[in-house]
Amino acid sequence: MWYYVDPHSGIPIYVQLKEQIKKAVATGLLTEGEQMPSVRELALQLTINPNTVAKVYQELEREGVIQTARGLGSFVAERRKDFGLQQEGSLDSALEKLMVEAYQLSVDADTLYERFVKKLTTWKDRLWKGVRDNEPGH
Amino acid sequence: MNLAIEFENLSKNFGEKKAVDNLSLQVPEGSIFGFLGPNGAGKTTTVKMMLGLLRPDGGRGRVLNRDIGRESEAIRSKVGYVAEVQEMYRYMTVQEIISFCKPFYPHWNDLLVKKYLDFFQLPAREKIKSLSKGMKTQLALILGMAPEPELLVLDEPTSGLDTINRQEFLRIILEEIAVQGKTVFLSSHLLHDVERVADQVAILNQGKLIDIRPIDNLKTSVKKIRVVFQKDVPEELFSQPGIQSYTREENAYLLSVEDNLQEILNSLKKYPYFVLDIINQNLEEIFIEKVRRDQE
Repeated sequence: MWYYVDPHSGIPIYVQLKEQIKKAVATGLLTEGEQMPSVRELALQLTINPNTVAKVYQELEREGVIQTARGLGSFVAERRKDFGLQQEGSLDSALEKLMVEAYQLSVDADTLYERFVKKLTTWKDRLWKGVRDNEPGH
Repeated sequence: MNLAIEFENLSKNFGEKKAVDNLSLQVPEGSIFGFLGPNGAGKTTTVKMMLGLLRPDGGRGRVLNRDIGRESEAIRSKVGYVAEVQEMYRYMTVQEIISFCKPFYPHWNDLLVKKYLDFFQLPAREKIKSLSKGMKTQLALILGMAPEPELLVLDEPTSGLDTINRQEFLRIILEEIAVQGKTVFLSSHLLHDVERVADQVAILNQGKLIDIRPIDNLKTSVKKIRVVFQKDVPEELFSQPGIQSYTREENAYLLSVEDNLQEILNSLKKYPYFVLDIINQNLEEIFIEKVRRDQE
C-alpha cells in the first residue's frame, strides 16, 4: 500500500492518514489480517512525526479498524460483527451528513436516491461480503 | 506529563528593546516543538537563554529538570545544539572540530558520527571554511546528535539547505531523535519544515507569545468561513466568541474563526444562505494572519 500525506494542507496530517487507511480497508486495498507498517517505518517513510502516526493507530484501534498485538505489530482487524447501538449512531450521523450536503448542493430526493443506488452497485461486492460473513456457519 | 522545557515569565531586554517579553511555555517530553516567529521576534535570544548562553533579566526556566540559571553547564552536557552554522571555528578541519567537541559531553556516539560523515560524504581532513553552506549544516547536525542528547535544539537549522537536503535532514532528526522518544525544539521561520514534523507549535512576535497549541488543534480550529446570505442578517451574529474578524460586501461575509467552529456554523445556518464554505488554512496562512493581527 502506498501512503501519502500533504503536510502543507489545512487538514491535519493525522486526519489525512486516518481517512486514507480507513478507505484502503473499506475498498480492500488493505485486507483483513494484513500487517501495518510500524509507527517508526511509516513516520520515516512519510517524513512526519512518529507521534502523529501513533495517534492515528490509536484512533483506528479504538474504532476497531486495526488491532495491535504487543511485540508483534498492528494488523488490519477483522470486520466487526456487532452492529449495535453505537454503530447505528455512527451510520445515522454519516447519513445525516450526506443529507445536509445534498441540501446544500440543491440535490433533490429523486436524484439523491438515483445516485445512492448507483454508488451502492459499485460497492455491492464489498458490502454484500459483510452480510455473508455475518451469517452463522461462515 | 513530563516536561522537557518549562519557561515562566522569561524576559530579556537589550537596552530599551524587549527582546523576550514575559515568555511562558511548556514543551512536553518526546514532542517536536516548532518555535515560529518572524526574523527578530526573539527566537534566538530565547534559545540562548535556554542553554545558559544569555542571562535572563526576569523569570525562570527549567530544561530537562534543571534550572537555566544555576545549572546551565549540566543542561549543555545533555542538550544537542545546532546553531546557525557560521558560528563554527573556520580554521579547524572536520575531524578536528569533532575531536574538539567530544570532551565536553559525557556521552559521544562515534559510530553515529562515522555513519553520517559517510552518509553526507563530508571530507574529514577538509577545513570548515572550505565547506559549502549545506555541508556545514550537515556537520552541525552530526555534532548536535553525537552526544545522544535528551533534547535537540535547532536554531534555523535548514536555512542553508535545498529542498531535497532539507527533507533528508528532517528524516534523520526523526530517526535518531524523535523515534527514540527524545525531544526536539525546532526554532525556524521556515514554516514548511515545521509543518511537516512538529506536533506542537508556538508563535512568537516582538518577544511575546501570541499562540501555542498542538498543530492538529490549530488546523482544526482556525478556519475561514465564506457565507453569502439570502437577505440581511443582524450584525450581532458576528460578535459571538470564536470570530476574530470579518469583512463584508453586501450580503457576503468572510469570517476568520479561531474556535467554536461548530457553534458558529450552527448559528449561521439559522438564516437562509446561498453559499456557506469552510476554507481550510495551512500553517503559513495561519501564521501570517496571526502575526499581522498582532502587529495591528
